This record gives sequence, structure tokens and C-alpha cells, in this order.
Amino acid sequence: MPLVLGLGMAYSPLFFRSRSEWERVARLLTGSVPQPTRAAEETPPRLDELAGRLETALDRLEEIVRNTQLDALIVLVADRQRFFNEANIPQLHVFVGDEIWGDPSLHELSEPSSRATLTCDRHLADVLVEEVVASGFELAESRGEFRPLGDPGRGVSAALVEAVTRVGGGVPIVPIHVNCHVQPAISGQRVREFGAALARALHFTDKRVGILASGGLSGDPYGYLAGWIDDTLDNWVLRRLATARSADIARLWDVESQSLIGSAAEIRLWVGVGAAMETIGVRAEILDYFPIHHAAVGSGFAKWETSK
Amino acid sequence: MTLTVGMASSHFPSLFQDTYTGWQRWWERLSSKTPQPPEVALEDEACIADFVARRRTAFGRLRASFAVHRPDALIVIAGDQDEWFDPSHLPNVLIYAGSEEIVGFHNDGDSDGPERLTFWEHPERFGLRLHVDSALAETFHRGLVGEGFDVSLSRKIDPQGRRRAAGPPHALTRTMPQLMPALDVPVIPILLKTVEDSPAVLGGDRCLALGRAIGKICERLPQRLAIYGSGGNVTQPVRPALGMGRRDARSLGDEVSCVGRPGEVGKPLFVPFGDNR
Repeated sequence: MPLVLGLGMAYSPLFFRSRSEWERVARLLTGSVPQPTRAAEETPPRLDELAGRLETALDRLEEIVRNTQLDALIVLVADRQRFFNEANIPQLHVFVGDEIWGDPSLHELSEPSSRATLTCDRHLADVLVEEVVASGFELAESRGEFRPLGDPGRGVSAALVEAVTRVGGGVPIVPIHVNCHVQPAISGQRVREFGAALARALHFTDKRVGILASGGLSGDPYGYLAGWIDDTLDNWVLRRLATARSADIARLWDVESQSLIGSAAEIRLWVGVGAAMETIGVRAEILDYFPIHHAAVGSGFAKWETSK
Repeated sequence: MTLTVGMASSHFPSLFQDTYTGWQRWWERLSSKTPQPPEVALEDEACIADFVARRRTAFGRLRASFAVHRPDALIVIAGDQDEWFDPSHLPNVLIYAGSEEIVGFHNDGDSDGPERLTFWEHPERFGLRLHVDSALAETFHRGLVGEGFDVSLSRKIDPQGRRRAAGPPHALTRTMPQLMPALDVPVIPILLKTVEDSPAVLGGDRCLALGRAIGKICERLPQRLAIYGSGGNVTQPVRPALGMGRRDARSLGDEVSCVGRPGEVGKPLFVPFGDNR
């Protein structure tokens, strides 16, 4: 069984900054947007507690990756005009190369450059792109040297770099970009079909492969609703994944809503992982969920673990 | 309004030469380093003259049909062939919906004169501009994504490919003066990955489905639309099988079938002669 692990982790740059930086990061993410009254509950002691839960969740994901002894980790992520520019905005995209890099530093906070290079599994990517296209997807690709066009100086998105650096355990990755932010974005149903196709394509490899969604959950960092989190939606999404019903979530974007753009649009990535794992009969286990207004996203962490 | 006319043609560069010399020069440039099939010897001056006459007739038929139907826009399905894009950014199917005009070239007669001309170095003679119907292109993109096709979107021309001076994909521009000499109908460019070095190209069935989805979207629109497949048919320019007339399912599937069911657009209008040059 080549697909042996699924992981979901929400993304906020706050997750990867020390507790002492949280106030500055929060101000950057939420800007001048009036905050919900509930945000006032995030007192220093409460934030200390949340920081502890966050570290526990990230440590747990890292431990799971390490213990599963993966050969490769597929990472579903959304681009935010870093890899791609307006000349070519793919709906689905696979990087078929040996290395990808990105600089997740927040230059708005005068952070020094922290460029990281990640090793990729080009051979697995080659298998996936061929098999998934053969099964009816118009997957775009990048071959050879990584050449970001959206932000040539900063490379691939921070949600990829920071997540993989923190929990990836040095396992080679296959970066897959899903268009969540440029309208018209891919439908939830199509992402679900894509996730299932990925799982089927993995039958053509003997490698032990995991799949990680890095993005979401609800929220709108830097945006119109920055700091507002729809934990009702997030909990509904997580319950659906825990009961192998990614199909329900796939219909979310059949309606247009202000609350479904921003990072909430990246719930699509979780649908992709959920669908892939449901294809092999595995449902999610929710490791933790807590809405941190300082992070500007609903902070959820989940695993889909096979017995093998 | 549905599609009013569907067309397809090859676009190899010799095709647009009027002289034996012109054809010979392009053949030498593209094919002479590859072992050739014996039939090449049959392509003497008389044969080429016949090809030229047939090309005129065939494109004349396409031009006449286009003029009769007078569409509001022309959907052009073309291979990129590493011209706008290179392996570092390789769409499988892409719609260009930008507002910037496509500035490119034809190559009519570029090798017929005393010297072979490099067409992109003579924009005054070979240059052309195609207006893009951005709004319609966006409509097609949204429609195809809604139909479950993972079509990449381009809103900006930013050439990355092998020969930037030569402009946009030749498949988009080369034949346009043959179809509409005034270049007065806006286009909706749909690019496919075809001959690029990738194992992940669309199969014929998916191409056919794409063509049918395009036809379905056309039916919902008030505009009169034409569709044209540019490329193929059965050889590999500057590739190992060059000149061998090999039936290449990829070229056929991607560059021809995507125009959709012939029944959707009426009697197919192909340029029905082959060559090895």
C-alpha cells in the first residue's frame, strides 16, 4: 500500500514564530480590521496556553512523519503569487524537479531572509503527473530547475516551506499546487476527484508515501475579514473528515461567500487529502483544533493513519 | 448561438512558400539531417507546384467559409511547442484571456526570394497583430473549469520559451492571414501541450471531451463563433522521426480532435494533403 499517511495542518506564519513575536505578527495579519469581541479573550496567559497546544500539535505531526518512515511526502499547497504570475495560473500543478526553495521571512517585520531549500522526489512526481493526466486531469507541471515567476526573490509559498521544515522530517517532497485563490478557482468536487486520482496513481510506485495539506482553515489573513474565524465551519469540516465524508465539504464552494475566500479557500487542500485517504478506507483523526485570532486562521491539525 | 464553422489545418512552414526553392530551403533546415524516407525523392518541382496549388485551393476554401460565416470571434486551438512556455512552467491546457494583443508573425514566402529571410527579423513584412476577445476568453475559462477541466489561465503575455524574439506560438499566428486576411476577428487562444518533452499529455479521449465542452459553452453564448485547430498532422518537426510521416497519435489527438465532433460544426474542412517536408 504506497499511500500510508495523510496529514492536515492549518497555516499561519504565527505558528512558526516564537511566542514573543505573536503580537507583532497578529498586527501584521489583521491590519486595521476591527476584531471580534472574542479576540479580547486572548490574554497573555491564554496565548501561552495556545502556544503550548500548538507546539504539541506540530511535534505530534513531526513524530508521526518520523515514525511512519516515509519515502516521500506529497504536499498540497496553494500559491499566493509566489510561484506563478499572471502569465500562467494553473488549477493543478506538480513540480517535477530535484529541489524547491522559498523564503518565508516576513519582510514587513524586518525579519532577515530565511531561505530554505527542500529536496524533492522528482521520480515520484514524474509518475504522478503522467498517471494523473492519463486519468483525465489537465495537470500543469514544472520540470527541472525551480523558477518562480510570481516572486522570483522569495520562491515557493511560506505555507510549503514552513510546514515541511517543521514537520517533514527531511523526507523528499512532491509539491502540488492547487488553485484556491485566483477566480475561478477549482471546484471542491474536482479537488476531491483529484485526491482520489492521486491515491490511485500511487499504486504505480512501491514507495511509502504520505500526503499533507498545508493551508486553511477558516480566516482571511491580510484581508477584509482578517482576524475573524468561523470555528463553526472549521468544526463541521473536521467532523466530516473524521467520518470520511469529504464529499460533503466538496460542495462548500458551490456558493460564493466572503467567508469562503482567504484561507478558508484552502480547505480545498484538506478535501484533497481526505479524498485520497478515503479511497483507501481511512478517515481522519483530529489531533487538535483551536481558533487563534492572533493567527487569523482556525488552527486545525489532523492525521489519517493506516495500520501499515 | 452555437459554433458556425469549424476548421483545421497543418501549419508547417514550407506550406506557405510558393516556390520549389522555398520548400527546399525549409526541408533542408528542418529535415535534412535526419534519414529520410524514399518518397522524398518523388517531391520534385512538379510535385511541389501541385502542393502549392492545392494549398491555395484548400486555404481558399477555409477563407471562403470563414468569410461566409463571419463569426464574432475565432477560437484557436494550438500547440505551444515551447514558445510561450518552457519546461519550468508548462501548462497542459491554457486559455489566454489578457487584453494585450498577440503580436506575432506569419511566414508567407520567407524562403521564396533570393535569400532566405528570418521572418521575426522582418516585422514590417511578416508581422501581424491579433486582437483577443478577453471577456469571451474568460467566459470560456470559467465555463471549462466549471465543466471539470483543469485549464490554466493566462492574463499576461510573458514569453518564457525557446525563441522569444520569434514571438507567440507560431500555431496561433502563422495561418491567420490565410483564414482572415484583414485580421479583423478577435481570437480566443487555447493552448495545448503537444510536442513538449513531457509524458503527461492529454489523451485523445480527453481532447475530444474538451472539444465537446467548448461546443457546449458556445451553445450558451449569443455570439457567432468559429473554431480552428492549428497543427499536425503526422510528423515530428526537428525530432527523430522527422519526415517519416509517422502517425503520431499525440499530434492527431491534441492538435486535431480538440475541435470537437464534426457533427457539431458541420462538414469538416481540413487541408487534406500530406507531404514529408
